[in-house]
Amino acid sequence: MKRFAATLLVTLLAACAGPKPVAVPAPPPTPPTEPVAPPKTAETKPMPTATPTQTAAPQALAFPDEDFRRAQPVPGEKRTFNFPKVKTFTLKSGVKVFLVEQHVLPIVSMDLNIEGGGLADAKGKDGMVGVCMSMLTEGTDKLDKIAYSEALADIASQVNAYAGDDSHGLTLSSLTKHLDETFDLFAATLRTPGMRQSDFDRMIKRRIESVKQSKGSPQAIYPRVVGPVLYGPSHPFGGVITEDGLGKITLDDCKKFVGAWLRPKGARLFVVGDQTEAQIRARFDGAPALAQWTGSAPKPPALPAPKTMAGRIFFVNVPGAAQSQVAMMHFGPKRTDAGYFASSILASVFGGGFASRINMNLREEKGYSYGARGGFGYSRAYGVFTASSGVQANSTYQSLIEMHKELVDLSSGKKPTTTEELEREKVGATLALPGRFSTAQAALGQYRNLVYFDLPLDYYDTYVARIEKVAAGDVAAAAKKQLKGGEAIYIVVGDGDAPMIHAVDKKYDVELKKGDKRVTLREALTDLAASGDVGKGGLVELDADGHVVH
Amino acid sequence: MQWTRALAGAALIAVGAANAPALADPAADPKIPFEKYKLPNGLEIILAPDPSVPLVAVNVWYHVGSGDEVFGRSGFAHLFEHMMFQGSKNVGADKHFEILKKIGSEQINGTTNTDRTNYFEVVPSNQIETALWLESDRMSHLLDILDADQLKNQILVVRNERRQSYENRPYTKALFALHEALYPEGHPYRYLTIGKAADLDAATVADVKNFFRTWYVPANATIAISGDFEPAAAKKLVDKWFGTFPTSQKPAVITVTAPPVAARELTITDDKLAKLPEITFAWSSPANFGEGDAELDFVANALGATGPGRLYKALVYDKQLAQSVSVEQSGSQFSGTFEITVTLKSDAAGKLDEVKKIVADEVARVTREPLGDREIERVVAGVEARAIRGLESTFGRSQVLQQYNHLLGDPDKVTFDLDRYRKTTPEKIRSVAARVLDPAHEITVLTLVPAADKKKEGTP
Repeated sequence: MKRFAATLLVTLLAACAGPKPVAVPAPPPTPPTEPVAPPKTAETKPMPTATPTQTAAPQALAFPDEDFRRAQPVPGEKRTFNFPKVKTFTLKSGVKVFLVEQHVLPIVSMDLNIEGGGLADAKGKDGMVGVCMSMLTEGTDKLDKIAYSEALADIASQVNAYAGDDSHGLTLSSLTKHLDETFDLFAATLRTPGMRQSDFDRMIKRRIESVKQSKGSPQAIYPRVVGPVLYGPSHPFGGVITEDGLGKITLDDCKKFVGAWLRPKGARLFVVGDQTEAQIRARFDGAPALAQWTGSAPKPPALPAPKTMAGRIFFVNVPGAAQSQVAMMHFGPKRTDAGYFASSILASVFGGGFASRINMNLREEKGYSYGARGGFGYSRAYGVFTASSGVQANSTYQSLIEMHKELVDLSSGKKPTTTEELEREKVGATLALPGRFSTAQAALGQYRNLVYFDLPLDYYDTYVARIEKVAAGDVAAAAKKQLKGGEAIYIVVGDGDAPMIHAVDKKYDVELKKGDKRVTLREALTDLAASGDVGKGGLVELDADGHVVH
Repeated sequence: MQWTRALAGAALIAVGAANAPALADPAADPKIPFEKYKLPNGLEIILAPDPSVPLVAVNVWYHVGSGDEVFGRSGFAHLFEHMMFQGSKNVGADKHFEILKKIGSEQINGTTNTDRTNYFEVVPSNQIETALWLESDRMSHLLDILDADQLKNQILVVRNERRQSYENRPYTKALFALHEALYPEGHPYRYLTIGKAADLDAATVADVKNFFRTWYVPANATIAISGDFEPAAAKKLVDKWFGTFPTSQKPAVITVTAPPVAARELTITDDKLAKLPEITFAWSSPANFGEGDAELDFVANALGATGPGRLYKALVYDKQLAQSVSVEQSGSQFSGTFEITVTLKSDAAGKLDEVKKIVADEVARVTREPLGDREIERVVAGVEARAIRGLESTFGRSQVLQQYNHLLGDPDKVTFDLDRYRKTTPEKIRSVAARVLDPAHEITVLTLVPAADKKKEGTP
């Protein structure tokens, strides 16, 4: 015991002697005390107090304040930047490749992306494609899961499978020098996955446990219920992964899925890094493991019209939560809408960054939140306006009021976008463009977005000009047309019994009371829904699976 | 091909040679060309030019973190970081983000850990001077416009950050309990960097002023500038904005050691957000770059890596008692912790003894028998790959230089760092494991799913 303690202390002092010259000699370490038996109660602590403490003192420094410090410096001359370009070509198998080359760092990443994802889930089996794709990385016909993961770890490479809302795929990441081995594992993952029953059973059990765990906190529950509320439970985007649903998925489902949906024709391969077109072609077209890889995946089913749940405020109770998750949302224009640039600048003013209205309100003015954001988000089929924040439990009600107010102030023209806001967002968006292309990986991400939305790959050639063309009138028109305070639904996940405060004026918050009694979150939401102040439709309570409770 | 060169620049050519030799050759280690110098007032400057992308990262490290806090003011270093964004005399209140947004900066932040606090912005390269203006004004004239309302507001914001990142997440009660068990009252690691809620509430404007005048003096800061700039021009600008600052002394940092603790087991029964039981086994361990720090990374990987890890294999794969296993050596500046965390399956709470025995046996084995060659080579491959991936972004390069400079006094320590892994031996790894992972000093924290919650399970 003594020997251990002495060694440890010496080690620590030695470790810190180098980098930080210690002008004041450190006081001798507290002599190690004999271990005390663990106490029966938590109150007594067996440890000595830490005696050393910092002794550095304030320094009285007089800083100069020359005139040149008064104003923001004038920028230098802007440098031109030729964005990394994307190269496209098609492999023999029919895979369309999007390649961004860089040859300075010896690293390569690939992503084989196929349309389907959650759209290919069998009815009543939400999460099926997620499970089936993960089965790919449970080992190959030759390597069990452990041997497979060891082979990848030995060369610091990764092969991962994923499933999103509307596509699924397989990724690879490798140092150039290990690409041959990594690619062999990638090809085997794709073509000859192990698909063992024991691995499948283990995975289903783990996913069921993950669902249990995800019902713990408001942050984890919130994304579970957005889908069923906004799109409706029977819509493909409205499904929720549940213990029951997972239990219905079979290995046979996955074998069928993998056989049918992992096909080259129409698939896309995104490559970034230390590879040329010739190298990619040789790798894929010449790989014996891929010689028999042919055909195309089924076409994903068409999306039905969303059927938003009836109601105005949707609430999930999480007893004891220190913060609530609060959001408002409504459908908006699609990504390819002609007014995209005006709506996007509008959204930035509302909630695009730290300086946006919703963050300045909920965080910097009220102190209810660590941060709030809002804006339009897009899938290929839909555009959705969302504002959201994690807020202190007792401020949940007032935060919802503030969100609604900021939105209505902007859409009604009561507090229209100011010239300063417009300038800030327009100039900022154009100047930020090089940053979005600053690594090969980032550049590929930009092109990938274009591909997803069926936008042309030369889109960014005219991007700056199109932002610059957005006039104040365009943003005002977008505010009126695209922000729909009256249509928004609200989702609140938090402690229903938490007592609320409310803001009586700009500076002061007081307890929210009815007579002498503090009003709880559940009561406040009930009254708010009934008042119609944020729209009609009432309060609906949900469980963490998105089912209506009562 | 032209854009390729433009993207990458000549700066990193060391790793760029086609068919680069195996990285076991230190000559092939990633290199970030840089120049370091000191202004007469004590402020350190690191310049790392790379013209490939027209961006500049200005990344200021103040050599103070939560590890330098004193009793009763836990969380203050981080709260202070928030105050640095509230405005300064010439910039004005609440203008920082607005100004940066308007010049196209999208990477703006500050972070605090036990060791240091950093502030950074990545700006278009023709706007380098605006970044220097913002940083120089808050280094010199922060206190001129500081007021009690701003502080009150940021205490609320940080309290919400604490709720969001700690109180509203499962297993953080266990995290706080573990640190209280490892560090005595008065030790700056006891309440984590986020601090105690009551200490945050107690912070005063006088505290902010004292902290600024003690720790935010020019001699306790290092500015790293990386990206697209001419070194001579950048030096002139640095002189203009920082050169007339008064001479200051680098504040002494006293190493606060972690006293040895006797083995204890704690149980958390009131974590309402926990839906699965979880158990953590922890030991006080060497500091970052301390003797044995790298060796414990090998041990952590051999035990916990998803797939190959011994505990992963035993608990997640074979016996299926656990949902996940994670093992980590995390070294701070004064000392570190080695932690094994096992999240159990909901039905495995009754098999806790079996889980504990498996963990104890595997821990005992790494203290007794050297790791296998493959387990060792795997970690070396991993750290070498990580070093290369860390060079991708302009900001990432400034972080790498600052990290080495802060802890080792020299930004150019990539090869030294990698050599820690390449040159150690299986026997050395074993002996460090035996020294640190001693059951007599092991703290165990168990989180049980609260009983009320279990009863309700299955009913909506």
